[in-house]
Amino acid sequence: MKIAKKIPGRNREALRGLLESMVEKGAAESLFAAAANKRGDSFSYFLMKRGSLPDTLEPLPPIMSRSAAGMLTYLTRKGPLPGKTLVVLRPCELRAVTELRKLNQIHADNLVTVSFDCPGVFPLKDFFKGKAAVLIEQHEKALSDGTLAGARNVCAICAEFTGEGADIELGFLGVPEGECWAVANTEAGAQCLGLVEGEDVGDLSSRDEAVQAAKERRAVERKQRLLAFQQEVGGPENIAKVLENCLNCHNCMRVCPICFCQECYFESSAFRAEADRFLARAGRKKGLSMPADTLLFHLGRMSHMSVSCVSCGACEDACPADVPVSLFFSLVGRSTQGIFDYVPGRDVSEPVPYLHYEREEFQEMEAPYLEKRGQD
Amino acid sequence: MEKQSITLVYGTNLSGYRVAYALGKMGYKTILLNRGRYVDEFRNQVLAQLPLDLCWACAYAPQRLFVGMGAMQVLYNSELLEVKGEAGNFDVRIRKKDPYVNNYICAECDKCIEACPVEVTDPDGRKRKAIYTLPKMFWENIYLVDEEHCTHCGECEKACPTGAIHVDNKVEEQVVSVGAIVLAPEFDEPTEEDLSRFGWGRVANVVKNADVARASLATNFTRDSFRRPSDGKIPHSISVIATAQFNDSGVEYESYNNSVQAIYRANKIKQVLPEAEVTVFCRQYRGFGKGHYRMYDRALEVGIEVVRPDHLKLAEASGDRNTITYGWGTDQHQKTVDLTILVTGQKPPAQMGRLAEICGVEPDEHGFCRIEPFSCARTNREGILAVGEFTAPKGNPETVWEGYGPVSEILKHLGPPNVEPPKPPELRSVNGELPKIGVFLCSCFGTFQERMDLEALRERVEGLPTVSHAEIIQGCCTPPTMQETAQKIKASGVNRAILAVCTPTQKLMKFRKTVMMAGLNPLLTEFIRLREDVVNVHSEPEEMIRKAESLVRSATAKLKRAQAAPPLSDEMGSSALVIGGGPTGMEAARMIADRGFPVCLVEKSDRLGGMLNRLGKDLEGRDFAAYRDQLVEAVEGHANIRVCKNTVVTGGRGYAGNFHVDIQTEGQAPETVDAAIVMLAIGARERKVNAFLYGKHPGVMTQLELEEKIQTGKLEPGHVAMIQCVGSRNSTVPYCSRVCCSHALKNALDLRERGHEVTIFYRDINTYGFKEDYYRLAVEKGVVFIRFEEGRYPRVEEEGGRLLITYTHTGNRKQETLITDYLGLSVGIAPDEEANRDLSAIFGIPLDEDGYYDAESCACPYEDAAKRLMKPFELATNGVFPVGTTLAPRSVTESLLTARQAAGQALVVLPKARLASPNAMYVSGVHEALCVGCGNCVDVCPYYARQVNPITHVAEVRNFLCESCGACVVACPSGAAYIRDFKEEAVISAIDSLVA
Amino acid sequence: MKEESKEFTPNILYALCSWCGSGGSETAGAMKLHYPENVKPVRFYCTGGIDPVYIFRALLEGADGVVVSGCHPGDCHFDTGNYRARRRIAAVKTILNTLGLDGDRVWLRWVGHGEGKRFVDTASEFDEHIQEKGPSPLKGIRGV
Repeated sequence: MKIAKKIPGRNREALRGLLESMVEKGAAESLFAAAANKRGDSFSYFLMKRGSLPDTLEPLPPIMSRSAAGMLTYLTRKGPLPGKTLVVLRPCELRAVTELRKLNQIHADNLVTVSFDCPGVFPLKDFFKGKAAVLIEQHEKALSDGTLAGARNVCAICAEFTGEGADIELGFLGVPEGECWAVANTEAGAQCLGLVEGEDVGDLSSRDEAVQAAKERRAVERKQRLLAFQQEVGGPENIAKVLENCLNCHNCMRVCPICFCQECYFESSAFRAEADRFLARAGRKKGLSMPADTLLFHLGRMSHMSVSCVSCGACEDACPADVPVSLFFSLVGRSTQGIFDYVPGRDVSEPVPYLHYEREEFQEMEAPYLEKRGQD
Repeated sequence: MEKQSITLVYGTNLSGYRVAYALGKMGYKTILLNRGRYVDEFRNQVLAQLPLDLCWACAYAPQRLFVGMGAMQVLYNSELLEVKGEAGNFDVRIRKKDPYVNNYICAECDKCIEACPVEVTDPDGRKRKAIYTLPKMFWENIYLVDEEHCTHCGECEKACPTGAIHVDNKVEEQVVSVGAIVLAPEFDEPTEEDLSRFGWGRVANVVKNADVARASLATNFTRDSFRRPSDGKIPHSISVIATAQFNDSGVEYESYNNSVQAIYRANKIKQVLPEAEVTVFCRQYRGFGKGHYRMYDRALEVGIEVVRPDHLKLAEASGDRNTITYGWGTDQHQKTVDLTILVTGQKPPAQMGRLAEICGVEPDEHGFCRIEPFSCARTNREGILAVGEFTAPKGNPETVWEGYGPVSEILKHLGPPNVEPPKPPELRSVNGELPKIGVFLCSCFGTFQERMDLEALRERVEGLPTVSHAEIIQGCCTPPTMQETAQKIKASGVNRAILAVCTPTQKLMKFRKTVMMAGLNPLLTEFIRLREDVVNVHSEPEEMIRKAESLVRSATAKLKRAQAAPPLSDEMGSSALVIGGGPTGMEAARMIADRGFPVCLVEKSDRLGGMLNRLGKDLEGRDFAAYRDQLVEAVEGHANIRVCKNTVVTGGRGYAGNFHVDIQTEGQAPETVDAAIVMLAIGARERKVNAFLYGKHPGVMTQLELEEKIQTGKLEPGHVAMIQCVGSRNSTVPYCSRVCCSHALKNALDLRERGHEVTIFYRDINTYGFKEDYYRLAVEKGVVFIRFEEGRYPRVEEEGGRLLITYTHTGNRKQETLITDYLGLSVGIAPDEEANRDLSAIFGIPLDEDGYYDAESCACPYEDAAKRLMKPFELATNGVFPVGTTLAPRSVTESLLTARQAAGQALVVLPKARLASPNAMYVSGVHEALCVGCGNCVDVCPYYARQVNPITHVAEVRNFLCESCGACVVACPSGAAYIRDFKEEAVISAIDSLVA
Repeated sequence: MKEESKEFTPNILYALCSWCGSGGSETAGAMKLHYPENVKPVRFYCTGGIDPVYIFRALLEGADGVVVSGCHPGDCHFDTGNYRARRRIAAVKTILNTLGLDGDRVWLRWVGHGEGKRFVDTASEFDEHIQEKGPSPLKGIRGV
């Protein structure tokens, strides 16, 4: 089932070629991927039909304008797309898709996922401040060597940067100049890839080695960075300091692909109260910051979705106040996912921790009871 | 002559209670005779065997409810004197004496105790009055009058504000006319004399398991639970003995599975005393229930030693220790321990003689009440039934099942229903009114004032901005005070009310009725536990007021946002689909059809009968064929049963009361059957075997094949060996099939009759209850039993056309051999995995880790099992009832009980065209605009009460299945799921107020 | 119950299920066992119905500690609610600990219906535990 083909061209060119060729050859009726604006300095996702693909197709933009997983929720919540659709996803977006499939928000029938070795992306603000052409070129280079200087916080410490869970996975790392390797991981992927011409990759080991080495390095960096962050922000005073800038605008929640609710609980009637209650709280708290409940919003959101957080970083990109939201969630997610031995996006058949339980677990979370009645 | 509609239940065993509850739900009144002065003076099986390991509330709480509804009358200090007449029309003379204190009216204010002039000193030096409370488990205090010291001065009666006391109650005789009688007397525990071999009552530091548990009621097991009675020290070594396995024959019977209880207890000890050395003594480990074998494995893992001697005796040792002398034959060993816990069995019922005389029922050879073969609870006398531990040593599942099991048999003898629930009062609409909250502080007839400054609290509460009215009331739990309080609520003009009372756990229905009498929807009220949260548990005056005030404040925050809603109900169909035409399926179909409901019975083969077509008789000698033939005839000729042979189920949709099931009969067009309830009775199969030369040597066969050979006379003379536990009780199949030992014994006894020599290789002989007799008989008849250990199964080879068996002697570990002509393999029962999986997917009923249905568990004394069994909610499995061996391995007779109990449950709901939500208006709901159909609520709902509508992708609630636990509320990240009286905004503001 | 010398009286929320947890509190009442007045019970149908947000909310709005009790594992009135609760509370404690916000201010201890003594012991023990910790810094966080 596992087939691997050499696709000619430099990274983004190779992928663009592969997609166009697959759609043309009838592998899919439609394509979901990013495309550039006319000037080529901004990018967003498009749903495209065969025969009308835009010439600005840019499946590897150097920024993540929104998470594709969120778009797919929007598209398929009420049911799958009618025809086969190729979907290009960053590895983090792919993991988010898996989570959302578990939550019945994405109906993935007919979707053929394509993912790739992702070097990360630039923070939105930096990209729009900088020179697009230069940054695009830097990004192109990073696709080959795996490291993007100036990448977003979470991208810099991402250890799950390959598309191994996708139907078709594109390898750039450890691959000879001027080509990329397309690997079909599933039957559906193989069907599509089979339509495309290209020399078989006999020996995949050079990429495997490069990926393995990079993963190990990143895993160490991730752990160190998150622990350092924990030192930095841990404790009530530090948290208060970091969150002081938070506008409580909830943008982070709005762009989060995992936050699939129609209306956020923290914007719901649960917290609407009469003025006198706010006033009473203001008295107790020596001043109530408005809008209220910033910390509750973050803690509550952590309890709701940190187990499924894929560290895509969309939250931080959306934050107007430069709160390190993505590091907060990556840090907490690492812990909550850890206790449940859960890796979001790993496997669609793995139940979300809150929808599952074991009869014997977490005894250590219970306070042991020892009746006190004299000495032994 | 018209039939009577009342049923008389004699005794307080759990089956009897549950018969009363089941009949109550069907609209029939029951009179229950309790010999005791209070609810559980006589311990029944549950209290004796599981005194602590389960919450008893589900068994007791309904009693209050049914009495309150008028569906049940409980007579105390009562006795059955004479039974005249016949089924349908018995005249029963009874004696009773109403308790001096009526527990249902008593407010537990203690005024009677204060008023009583008689001081009594108990033998233990404790002082009390002639009227006193019994230290109770759970929320009730039982007030008793000590006959010996009471002077009948009447002071307590005068002091009682609720009129609950009558010191002049006399013994009365009366005759009641009933349609049926259910004998349900309690459990008889072995006496000191019965347990003399184990030193109980004579040797220090020998205690009974039930007593250890009972002594720890208020704390559950802690280190302190196992302190030695002699010196209060924590023991270093503890032995646990399953006494029935070592006692003289006929003294005590192994009630269900004492060895399991012993292992269970040992595991509990290890949890709290990990350093203790724990030894369990049992001859056999009879863990045939779900999870029992796993429990045994865990015991070994945590370092519990399990010793399996043939005989055992306990004697006193120095230092108040116990020496246990045990061994095999003449091989003697000794072990000295600090503490011994006896897990005791059950004696034949002491009531048997009297009841035989009065009712004409017969005892069996063990002194228990005899039951008609293949029946549930039918005695030799028509219209008189016997249930629970009265008819055999039983476990918790059986006593629970025998509540619903005999209902259709009872209904045959009854006239029309005679209980109608009272019509609820008219409620007024509060639409358009601003919230006006009234707080009504109960003084419990003036007693709370003595313990706290209620007037100060009232003033404080009245000052709250959210409260428009505050008032102290006398009570709201007796008819006059309920009336008075309802008037006060009305007069105050409020549209929301807080009652600060004792506790709704005890008197919820009375409180609800009070506010409803005031015209308020119960959702517009909150009941605060002033007594349990403040008055009874605190003493600092100012702090008590402050705490009470914050509880009231929090309730106002919640109530302000409350919205009225009516109780909900949903349509309920009246037909049943039974899948599987074996004994369980047929019996269930017949029971339901007999009550007039249409049944479709689907059988995949061309013949009804199932396993009965292969089995001749059971170990006790009951003839299956005759039973099968009459059952098949009854089912096939039944006007209400449609039998579909050669038919399979291919799909289905819907939920309790509203299933649409696709069936396919060979050679016919597919069809959809509507069913309100579904019985899964597809049975199980013989485990496949590929060992011990099975299939390779003609002399090797399964027990079932061996039985067929014996029956048809095709077995040539020769030696027969048997190997038990083939392919089970190992790491991949970690359970016991329950029936194989009986099957092997039955074949062995038959073979001995025919002159064959028989040798049985076994790990444990699982002959529980009376089956032990046949084990003894087999030993007497010369059947040779050779034990082997799990890792040392005998080896079988062919030698000159015969079979050579090599085995290891358990005692001396030497290899020995045996030549045999035939080998019977006890391969046990395996689930029909494929069929179970298909039906599990269609009906959404989960399978357990062994591939059986997870709807029940017979894992006494595992808490889980008892709890799930006890729950009095018929539709807990969404109207789908797996029965018989689809649940776990069990015999035909045992399977029939599960079928009858399931049919009994079905008969509670089938007659109702609409079914109300079990929790009235307190059901969960969906804010449709917020729901995105993720299905989290569906996944976590324990009652199948939710589904995501496939068209709108929005969650829906099936009202009558919702028990309002709130799992959906927590699972829903967006607040789309709510419970009517726990809406998010109400809870958040209540918390804010409480912690403010 | 209160001693004069105590400088700090913790504000404690005791979240109970309606079955065993409340039952424990009622058995304590029936047996007239005492516990500190500053422990305030709040009831839910099931521990499985306690949203972690409620716990965070209590800690942010004035509680110095939150203790949760319900039916023992295997004994849940609603069959599985307490297993789910245990997972939720594990997550709450983990989140608080990860952020240095002291997950030990949240306790979970099962209390059965008959276990009145266990109930009051838990209330008192938790009260002492929180007294040793001192006031919760969370409720004082200003501005967030």
